[in-house]
Amino acid sequence: MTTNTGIPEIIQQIGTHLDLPHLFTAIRVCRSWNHALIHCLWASIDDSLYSWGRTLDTFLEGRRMDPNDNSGSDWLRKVFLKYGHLIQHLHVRRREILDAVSVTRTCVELKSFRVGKVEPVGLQLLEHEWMYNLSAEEQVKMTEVRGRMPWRVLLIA
Amino acid sequence: MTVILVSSDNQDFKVDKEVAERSILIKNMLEDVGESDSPIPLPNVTSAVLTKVIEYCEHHRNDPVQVPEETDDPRKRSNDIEEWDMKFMQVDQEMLFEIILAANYLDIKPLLDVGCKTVANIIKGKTPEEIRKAFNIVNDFTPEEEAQIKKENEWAEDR
Repeated sequence: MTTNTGIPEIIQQIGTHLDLPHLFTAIRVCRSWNHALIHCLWASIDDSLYSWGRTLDTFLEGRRMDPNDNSGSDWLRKVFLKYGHLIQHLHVRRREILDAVSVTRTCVELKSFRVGKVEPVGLQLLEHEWMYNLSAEEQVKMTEVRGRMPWRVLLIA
Repeated sequence: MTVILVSSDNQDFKVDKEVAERSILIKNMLEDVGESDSPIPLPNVTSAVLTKVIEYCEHHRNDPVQVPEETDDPRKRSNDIEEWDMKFMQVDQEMLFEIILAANYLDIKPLLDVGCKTVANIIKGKTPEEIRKAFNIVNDFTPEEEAQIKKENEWAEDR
């Protein structure tokens, strides 16, 4: 056998019974499983859950060793270029994620976007910090300018 | 009242209407056709699989109709399977997927769920390679691709 294990609808049905760590395993089985399940894995991102913290801390460690080391944020931006459009719900507390979201602008399918208290960690691109200082009117204007993004930017201090 | 179901290999199955109507597909067909005793062809289901499906529907003939939990996150649903269903699902992997496909085609939601949960439970705790072995799946990733996908999604590992 078997072609049956490659039918996307069925694989997606099975995927609804898997939590994220198991989906992470399933997307590495073969191309058709990856195709069928990758959007489940990325649909809802909360950077305080699973191993986000550890992943992002590794980048910080690299930066501590060498202040000019941008490989971590480069890599994260590339990941968001590839997967950002799959994200529907995003809850951010880490500046590295905000950076990737704002620079790549690939999160065009967001249905909800929450920004928690973001700790400064010294990345160069502090765009969202700058946005804190904008008036409500200016924020609305900016959102209009970035019309491709179908959501309102919500900043929760 | 009974209806006759015909499998893809032309075997007739005489079942109670109540049992056959666990399949929403058949239920709708019967409603469309009205009073009629003409056999219902099921060209996508072999007799071996149909036998299993009917066994399931017989056992669950009196179950209340499942209310779809639309707003609930399916991921929060429990993966518990009742004992009879668990035994019923102890078939080889090929038959397991055949049953899931038939449940999908015949629109028997509880059977589809039980089948998918069974596969999900097999997946849990296995590595990608073990899953491939269990379901006879060929790894069509290059080693580089596999490593890249792993790295890009490692954040989803358990802490």
